[in-house]
Amino acid sequence: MTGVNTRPKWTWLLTAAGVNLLLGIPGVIPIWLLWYFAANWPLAAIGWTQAEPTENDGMLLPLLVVAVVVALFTLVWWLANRPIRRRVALDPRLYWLVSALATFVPTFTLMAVL
Amino acid sequence: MADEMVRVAQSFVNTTYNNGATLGTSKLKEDGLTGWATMYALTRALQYEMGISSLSDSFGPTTLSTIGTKYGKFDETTIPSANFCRVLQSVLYCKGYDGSEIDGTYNARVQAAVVKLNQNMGLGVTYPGSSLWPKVVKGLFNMDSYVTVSGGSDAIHSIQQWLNGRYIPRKDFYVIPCDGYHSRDVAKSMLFAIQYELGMADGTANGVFGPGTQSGLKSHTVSVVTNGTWAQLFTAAMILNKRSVPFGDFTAEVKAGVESFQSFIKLPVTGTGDFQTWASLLVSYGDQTRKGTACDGVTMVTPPRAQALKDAGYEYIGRYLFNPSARLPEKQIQPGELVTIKDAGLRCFPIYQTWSGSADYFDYLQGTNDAFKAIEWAQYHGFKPGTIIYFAIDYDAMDDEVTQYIVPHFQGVMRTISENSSYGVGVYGPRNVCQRIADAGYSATSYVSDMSSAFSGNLGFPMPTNWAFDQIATITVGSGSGAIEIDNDIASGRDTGQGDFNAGSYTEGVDVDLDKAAYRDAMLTDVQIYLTSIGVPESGGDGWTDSDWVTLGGISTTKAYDLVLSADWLFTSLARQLKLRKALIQAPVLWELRKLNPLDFLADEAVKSGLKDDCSTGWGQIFSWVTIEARNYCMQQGIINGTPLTSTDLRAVWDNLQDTTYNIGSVAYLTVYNSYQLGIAGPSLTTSLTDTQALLARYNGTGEAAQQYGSELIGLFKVLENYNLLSRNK
Repeated sequence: MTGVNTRPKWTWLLTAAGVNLLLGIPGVIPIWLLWYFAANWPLAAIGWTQAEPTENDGMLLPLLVVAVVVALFTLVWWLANRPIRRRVALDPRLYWLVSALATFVPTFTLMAVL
Repeated sequence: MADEMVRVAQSFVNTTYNNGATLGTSKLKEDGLTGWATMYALTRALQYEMGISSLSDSFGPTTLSTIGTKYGKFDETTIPSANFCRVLQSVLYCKGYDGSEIDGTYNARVQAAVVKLNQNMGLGVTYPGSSLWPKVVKGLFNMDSYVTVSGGSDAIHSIQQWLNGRYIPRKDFYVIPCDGYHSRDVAKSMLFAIQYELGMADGTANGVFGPGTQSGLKSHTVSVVTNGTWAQLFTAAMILNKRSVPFGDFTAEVKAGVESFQSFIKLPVTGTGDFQTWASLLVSYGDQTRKGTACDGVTMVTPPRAQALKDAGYEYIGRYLFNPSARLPEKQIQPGELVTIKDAGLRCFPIYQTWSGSADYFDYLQGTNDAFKAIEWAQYHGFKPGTIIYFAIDYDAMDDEVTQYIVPHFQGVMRTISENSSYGVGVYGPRNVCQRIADAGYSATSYVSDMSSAFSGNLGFPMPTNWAFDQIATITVGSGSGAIEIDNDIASGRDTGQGDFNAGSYTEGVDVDLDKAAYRDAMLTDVQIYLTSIGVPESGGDGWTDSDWVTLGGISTTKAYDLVLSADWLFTSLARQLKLRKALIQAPVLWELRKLNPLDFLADEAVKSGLKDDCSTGWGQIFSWVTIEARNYCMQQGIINGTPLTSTDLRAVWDNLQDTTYNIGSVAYLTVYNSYQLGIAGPSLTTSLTDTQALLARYNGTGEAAQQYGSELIGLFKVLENYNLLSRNK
């Protein structure tokens, strides 16, 4: 059908990988914020981590900030992946899992470097 | 508020005079607002139209005499050109009168405006008709108002009109403003008027309160039998000094007013307008031959000098707590001097003065700094609780400078003196400064520099309501070894100084200001090395899971350090006042500054918007409820003064914590409170490192996180204390 995308399926796989790796760069921020929140409050509460002593204004504000940042990033990530997923010959659940892992790659790289 | 016709006038100047180039000025801003720039340009335009070659902003003698000689006066028959008329019409609009569309004709509207102007100036009888006379023209080309302005007094307005109307024919008397306010011009015009009434000729009368005027006034005592011009002049002087009497005859009501004034100003209460009363009404220093009972000086009071003062009838002497200058080596109270003063039966009131000779010295922080130092010096010399310390403003402060610089300065002085001592605040300065500070509630009494009679802050201002000492003349008392030069002061009795003194106190080993030139860089390096060693690099964090990344883009170690150093004087003052180590206050503040992150600012915003009641805030990241507990404890222990705080003060205290001086002070008081909470001895100059670490940990609360806080801060404390020690040993 004229006008319908006729690119080979494998190029969409590359596109998916590229997009998620790129999204992973700004993704460092929400992922780190999630860790910051978890380490200072819920994980610290059960003794797995030690809270930063100067963080003493309560968890409500940090929770709000983390929730907003993570929600916005997730929305952007989902909107970016949705059109690609339709064109990739992968099981949807597998697609979302692999995409999520690809998004984590820059963060893991940073963790390895720092 | 912008006026369309003033804008037209500005446009006329720009268009007619080549955007100011013809007049030697720059282009006028066409904003419809009358200001000096517009007045100067119009003055130059008038001079240009009259053919004066050397144009000036000033409407001086040449401009005035040229009007007289060339035109006599301006009216529809003498106006030389349309543009000449437009200049006058423009200036009428700038003064709030109808200039008739600036059309270049001296028409009926202009004539009506001039009649109105003459009436407002009080010249309706002297200059009937619609002509503009030279002195009236001069009165047009300035910013003076001829109607009572906001807050002005109608009684003073009437006096101003009366003075203009009666004395304008005299050669050296020019139109004074009729705005309802006493001022330098009005004060001088009163002196001219008196000189004219004394029979002084033009050219002799000069508006100065000189020997001739004083001699003349001595034979012009006014009393209830006096009517006519002398009574009018006297009642005018009373009204200008804010005494509520009717203008005109010397009635029984005026007599009562005079008695009240004489009692207030500490003159013999005679109920008559005698020379001393005239003098006090006309010039700030009054009759300089008055015998005062107070004095101040920059010379040590030795036993012979003390005896000379006593013999001359003096009871109180003002002496300086501190002298930062090598000049006048005896300016500061000398060892043993207060004992001499006491033994002679004299009393002393202390003055604190450093560099107080210009506006840029004064601000809230400087006031706080001065107050801490004054407290320490007063304690050093042995002044007892209740002593009023006079803080000096030794220059002619303009009213807007008082608002912008001096009132905030005294806010800092008053807050610190009230909180950290049992002393009181006095102010030394011109009348206006003293009254403004008193009105703001920042002084108990005033020591008035009335000797500086030419100060704008003295001219045209009545004596401050809370005056204690009135400085009127410099004289020498005694002879031989007892000779001493003093400023002779009248005392009101509102402050009787101190006649007995403590032994004086000084604590060895207290902290001093950091020698920044010597140690700033080395100390910063050591702070950075230490912080990096515990995982706090210059900025951000030192590993992926390090929560310090949240501080990235916030305050670096260097920035935090420099902020702490910028308030070094405050840390020093608090440490000296509380007799504890400066680093104990510096360490948590430096740490909290370095650890500031966006969540802290969000928390502040949440409190400001009412979403939260409280959060840790300011340099010390201290909670309002913690501050309340700490300050209340210190009040209970007599360490600081104040009204006990309650939970209803939570927001007010949080707001106060935004003030760095209040915030750091609260950090200092919290360390004292924490010693109580820990059940250990209060912090001192010899507190052990173990107790210091415990105090630093308690700053963060209790539990494991607080212990970590303490173990991290004790290292920082050691680094800071190391350099504080070096500064102390210097």
